Amino acid sequence: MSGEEVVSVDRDSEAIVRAILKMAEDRANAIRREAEKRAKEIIESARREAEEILRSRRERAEREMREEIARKRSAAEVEANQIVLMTKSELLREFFRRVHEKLAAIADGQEPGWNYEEILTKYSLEGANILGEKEVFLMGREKDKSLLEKVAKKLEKDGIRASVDEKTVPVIGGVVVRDSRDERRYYNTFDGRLRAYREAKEVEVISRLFEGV
Amino acid sequence: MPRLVEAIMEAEKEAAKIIQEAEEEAKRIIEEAEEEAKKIIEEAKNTPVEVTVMEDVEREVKEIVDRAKAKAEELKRVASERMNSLVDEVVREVLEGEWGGSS
Repeated sequence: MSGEEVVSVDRDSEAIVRAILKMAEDRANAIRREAEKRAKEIIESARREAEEILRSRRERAEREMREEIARKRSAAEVEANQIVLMTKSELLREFFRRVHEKLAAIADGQEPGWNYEEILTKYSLEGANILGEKEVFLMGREKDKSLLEKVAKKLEKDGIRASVDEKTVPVIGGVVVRDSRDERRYYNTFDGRLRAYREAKEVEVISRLFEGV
Repeated sequence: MPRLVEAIMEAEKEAAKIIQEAEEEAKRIIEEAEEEAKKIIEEAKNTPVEVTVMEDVEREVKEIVDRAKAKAEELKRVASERMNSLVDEVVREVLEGEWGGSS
């Protein structure tokens, strides 16, 4: 090979080498660009996912907060209702305790304006009439026995033969009228009257006691 | 000619190395991105979330209960004013009304 031929080969190989290396560089750059593009997509996708996670967590936290607020408000309203209801209940209990106390005082003759003997007479006569009996027995408190004796005498003028029963009844006041065979009884006691009154009129009493509040 | 072949082979070797390096770098870039993505998501899962609910529920709860207590006091006041006369009235109704007994 001549000197000129050697130079020519060197030039050719250099050009080929350069071309090969250029192609490799280009390919390498393309690989890097592709990787960077893919990396950018990965990061952007992660950011979108993160944003979604945060939005969802915020929504959940707000929902939980609102539920907690509703729970607290509801519990406060229940507590408020209980305060009012318990107060009404205590006042109503106190009211009927006073009624009971007053009835007991009337039965013990401690209330001016009330004549217990007259009440017993009226109740006994009412009982005898309802039973439709001309002979009856009167039952009351132990301490009312002497009063019932007087009542029994008073009933004679109404044509009723009344006797005081040996048996007593544990009541605030009033009388139980029974027939001579003790087959039928008529309960005209303060306790029974108060119970019947409460059953019929308690709502009205509540309304009158607390009206306007 | 052998020198040309030799030069081409060397160049191809060098080209393969360049590409391999680029592929390794690309792999590293993607791995780093994946690592960064994991961190971003992990941070989103663990960052404290601030909630802006503009309601002062504690104050409202106190107001509800205070209102009920005030109402209870008013009930006591009104009931105590009415109680004595109503007791008299009810006692009269109990004793004189049509509540008489049962047979």
